[in-house]
Amino acid sequence: MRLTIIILCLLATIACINAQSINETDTDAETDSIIFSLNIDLTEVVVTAKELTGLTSVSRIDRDAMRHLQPTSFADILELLPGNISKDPDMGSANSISLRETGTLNATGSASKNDDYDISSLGTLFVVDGAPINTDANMQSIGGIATDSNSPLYKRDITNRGVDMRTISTDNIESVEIVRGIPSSEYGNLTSGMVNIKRIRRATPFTARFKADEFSKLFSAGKGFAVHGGAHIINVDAGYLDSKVDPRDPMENYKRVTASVRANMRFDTNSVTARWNYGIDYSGSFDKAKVDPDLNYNKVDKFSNDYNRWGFSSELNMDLHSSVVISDIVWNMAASYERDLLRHIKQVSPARAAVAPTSMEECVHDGEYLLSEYLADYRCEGKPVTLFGKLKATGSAMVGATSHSYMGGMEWSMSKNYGHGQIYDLRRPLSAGWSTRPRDYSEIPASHTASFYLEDRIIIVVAEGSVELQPGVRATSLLSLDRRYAMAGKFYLDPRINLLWTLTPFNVGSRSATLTIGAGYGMTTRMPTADYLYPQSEYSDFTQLNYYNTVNPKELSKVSLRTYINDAANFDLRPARNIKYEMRTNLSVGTTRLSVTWFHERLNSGFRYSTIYLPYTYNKYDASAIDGATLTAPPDVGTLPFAVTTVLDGYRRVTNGSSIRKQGIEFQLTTPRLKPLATSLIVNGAWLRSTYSNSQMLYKTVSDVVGDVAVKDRYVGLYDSNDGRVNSQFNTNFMFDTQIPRWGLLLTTSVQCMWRVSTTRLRENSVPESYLSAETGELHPYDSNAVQTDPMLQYLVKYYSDELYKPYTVPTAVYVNLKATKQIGPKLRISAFVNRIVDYLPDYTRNGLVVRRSASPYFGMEINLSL
Amino acid sequence: MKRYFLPILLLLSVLTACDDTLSSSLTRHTVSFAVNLPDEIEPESAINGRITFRNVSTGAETVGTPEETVTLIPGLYDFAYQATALLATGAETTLRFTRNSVNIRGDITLTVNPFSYIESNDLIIAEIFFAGTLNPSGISYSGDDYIKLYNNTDDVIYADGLALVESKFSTTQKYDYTPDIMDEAVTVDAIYVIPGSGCEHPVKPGEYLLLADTGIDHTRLNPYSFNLEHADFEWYDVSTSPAHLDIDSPTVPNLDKWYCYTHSYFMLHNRGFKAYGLARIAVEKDEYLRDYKYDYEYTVVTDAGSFPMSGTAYKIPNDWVVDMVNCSLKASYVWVVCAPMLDMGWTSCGEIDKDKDRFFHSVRRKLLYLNQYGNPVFKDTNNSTADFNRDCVASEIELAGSVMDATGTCCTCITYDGLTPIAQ
Repeated sequence: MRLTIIILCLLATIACINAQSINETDTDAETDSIIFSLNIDLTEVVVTAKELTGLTSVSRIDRDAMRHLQPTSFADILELLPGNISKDPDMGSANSISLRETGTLNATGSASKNDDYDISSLGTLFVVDGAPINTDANMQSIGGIATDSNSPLYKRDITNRGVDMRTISTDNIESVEIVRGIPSSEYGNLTSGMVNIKRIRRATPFTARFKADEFSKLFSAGKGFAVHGGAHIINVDAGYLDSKVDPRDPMENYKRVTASVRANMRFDTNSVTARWNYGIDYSGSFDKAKVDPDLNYNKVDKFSNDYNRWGFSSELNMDLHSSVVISDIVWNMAASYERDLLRHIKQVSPARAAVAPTSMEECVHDGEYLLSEYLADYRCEGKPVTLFGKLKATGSAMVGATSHSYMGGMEWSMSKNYGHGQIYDLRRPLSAGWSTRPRDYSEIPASHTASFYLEDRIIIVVAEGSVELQPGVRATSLLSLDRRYAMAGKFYLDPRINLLWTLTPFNVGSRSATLTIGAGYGMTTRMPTADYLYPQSEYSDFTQLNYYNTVNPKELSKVSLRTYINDAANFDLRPARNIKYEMRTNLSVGTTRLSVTWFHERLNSGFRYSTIYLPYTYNKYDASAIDGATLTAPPDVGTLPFAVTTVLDGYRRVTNGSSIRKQGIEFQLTTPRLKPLATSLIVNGAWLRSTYSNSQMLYKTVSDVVGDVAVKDRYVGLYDSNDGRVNSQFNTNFMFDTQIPRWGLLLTTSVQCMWRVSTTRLRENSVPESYLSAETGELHPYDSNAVQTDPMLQYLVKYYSDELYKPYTVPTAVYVNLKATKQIGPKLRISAFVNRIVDYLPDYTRNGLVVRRSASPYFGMEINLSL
Repeated sequence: MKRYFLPILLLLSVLTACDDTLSSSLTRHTVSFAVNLPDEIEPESAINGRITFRNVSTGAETVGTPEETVTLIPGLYDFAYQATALLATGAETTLRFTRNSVNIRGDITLTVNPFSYIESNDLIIAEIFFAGTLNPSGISYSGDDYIKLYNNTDDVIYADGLALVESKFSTTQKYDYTPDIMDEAVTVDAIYVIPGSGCEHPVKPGEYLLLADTGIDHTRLNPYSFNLEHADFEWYDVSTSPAHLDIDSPTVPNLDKWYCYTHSYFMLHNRGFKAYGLARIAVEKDEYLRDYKYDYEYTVVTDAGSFPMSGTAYKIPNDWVVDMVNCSLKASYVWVVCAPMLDMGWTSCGEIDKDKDRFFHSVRRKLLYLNQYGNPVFKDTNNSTADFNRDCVASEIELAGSVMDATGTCCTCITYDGLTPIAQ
């Protein structure tokens, strides 16, 4: 069935080609040279990411490439980066970015989400028209609870994960630059890299796009008006996406609405040329997931996650004609306001004596039995507000034979959540195992970040080549932070330097050639988000008495709980810092271009929630003496015999405990177009090696029980161990780019080869460095003397099988993707694509088991009108 | 260029056409038998020997005689042997032997150690209600599971000291646990013992003894459930986590908890993947917990590696076991988790995993006849497949006349065994 549809799509495209060929008097008598000659109206376009030859490694993706790729959201265009291959849109999960890394994998080499390495996406800065997208105050979540990884809430939780790329429509984007290397000092508050989006700001005809694929329908329209003789331009556009996570399941869907009005004004005077770009934007993103009552016993289980963002951004660029020191001043301003609402309504049927802890304070209190079914209504209301201001001045000067282009500036950003946060009835929790409490986000202080930067670009002309050097420094600080934080009042300096040596041009045969060699070093710093700075308190509830009265369970039962509150904030928290190195070379001979980049990145202070253990004391009451039949009121715990008990229990706390090491080689080769076939070949790919691990010691519990006592209640070991994996992958994409402008036809065949993916678990240390004792509440060194004090301590030595450390390699996978675009007349363009129309996924044997793989194609079509 | 499109298209459609990688080579293997008869049976007296291989995956049966060989395609088989023999006393007895999940990968000789059928003189398990009920909203409710024991003999039996046990291993997942002690003992993960000095809890002939999870009136928590306040005993577990609390009914005495694997509360396996049994443990609690621990090892083979695993449980020697009932599911069954002399078969509620039809239903022992006192006599041949009725409405639902399905229909019929109605 699917294959039939694919073939129909292609046939439709080809039918159009034939139709037009006949119309355009294309007869057999015409020679090849005429057929393949260029059409005057339509020129060749770049259909892939261009590797820029500037000071650092940047992939640039233009409108034409995006149009041919037919993306649903921004996430789809990442396929064009070296190291990536095409992926189906996943509209049921938050789509976060990762650059130059394999991503976290499981033991069999498949992608697996791991919150400990959220810094990968959090540390990638998104800038739209000069203003960063600030997500630091976004906390739409269920609060402190590690929910099951398949739950709709968990998959869509974007807290501490940066930008959800599903929310970014590509239809009004003119170009995207993805800085994989060391960004200019102008950009900060990032660790990994940066995405610089420039939207359309020119006069355009009215354009409309309708796309339909397996999962979604997308509609967008836009127009650019030239006003005042072309001095000012106003762009208006809007888009709508309706997508299903699984086309067979109408219960789970995602919708996106975007609208934008942008103005681009130009004023000329004798002394200054001013360009003022400003605009207002709206983007709405609506997730819905519902459990089918006919398929599931939960009659009511509805989840919705609405996100509405209004933004204003402005960039005033003043070109000073007469000034000596400063030639250009740029002033950016941006503000955004979001109204987010996460809602989960669920029918809950507690099994037997489930208890809801209700105390918001640290005390002994009575819990409440959940004795019957109820409807839990969980709301999370977020209203993040962000403000941004930036002032930049640039100038240039010649000092001897060297030219200097210098730049300096300052930046301030603020984020604060004014929403009421998590709102629900503690006596009606979403699940019986509830341990967290409601939280009002508006009580969380605002975060202010201030930065200053300086950069110089020095060009020295050597022979007919040149040497470019770009040293820069950026200082970042969190303002108005409580004195208790180690970061308070501190500036963090990011030194960055990029070097590019362009050799004297030479000839290879008859063609001229240029060779450039570049190198870079830089430090990048990401400040913690509001959730990391002011995390939700952790509650530990212990049952002291559990008395169920059979005569009158509602009135006479009693549950006594002891509640402790742990502050999850870590005042010693530091920013996450990444150190980046890279070496690059670009060779172009005629129109053939080859670029190769080696990189190495080291980040040791990524944010994560680590589990910390503490001793907790409570009274264990003996209820056996209570005579249920004679009670007239719930039993008084004061009259019952009890034993004082102390146990160890864990809670989560923010730490700088994650480490990510990235190494790799990226390459891209572009060949000239082969005239008879009208085809050029673009080869890109990467070898990536990423190591994910902890950077601080870890508490781990053991499950052994000695007699009646669980070892973990009494002792918890602190291990100097690695809990991560080292992953590597090598891929190459061969893209055959066929362009026949005379037919208005653009056809690309991309053969995407993932040669191998490999993963190995890092060695664990089975013996703890020290141990925490419930009795003393302190850490003691773990040595042979320790085991003599209590034989129970010997259980803290963990066992890891050598099998765990065996590398697992997934062999070659090859996919073929087809994309076709056909221009019909001046106003209509239709496109179709099929990803994985052919695949090569050989079976392989691991550990005596045969692993079979399969892939299913993903396909769609779109119509573009420009009137 | 255009003239190439059609051929290319055809080529692509051929490339994406069906990929038939499944090739089965139906090699057959020869199985022969070595029969070791019990000492009391003369070799020539064993007649009418019959062997059956049932392919676990396909259900296909191959029958033969132990004197000849059979040929089988590779796979997992349940093997059964049956013969009749004359004892020296002149009485005729049935010889039986089974082995579950025999892996036929080459020519082998199967060793057959048959035993003659032994009659029970203790309480037997008459019913296991593991599935629980549903709330009116359709969400499952699980506090009302129970096990019913029955005195199938003509004598008074004292229940004191009788242990209710749950198998550690599941009938739906098999590993090669080493050391393999199945011929000597049952591996258990929960032991709850009926308290008493030895003559405190008499069960008269034809009487039941109700062991419940929670002996409260469950209709207060779930109107579709029933009252278990009249249970004879309940199993209660102390838990400190507010998320997982058990209810201790003050009106129903607790079973004496010797051991249980869980830190929260024990309940019968809700989908019925375990075996349940009764045992008379012949030693004191302290001695038992000290000396009858069973440490085992097994290997989990995945494509990521072969992982050596270990586990700890307790063992109940087969001699102490009074009754064993294996529960499983047609779609998931892999093996019987005790020696064939204790139980040769398995029973179930529902056909597939997570079958919604299992709620409100239990497995109940088959009625043979009513004796001269009007008491039912139930079938007990140590083969749960033959001895139990599957998918019966639970007896407590029948007695209470409470709800018996998700639509809220009340039960109006009382039966002995889920099938035979009791004449009013």
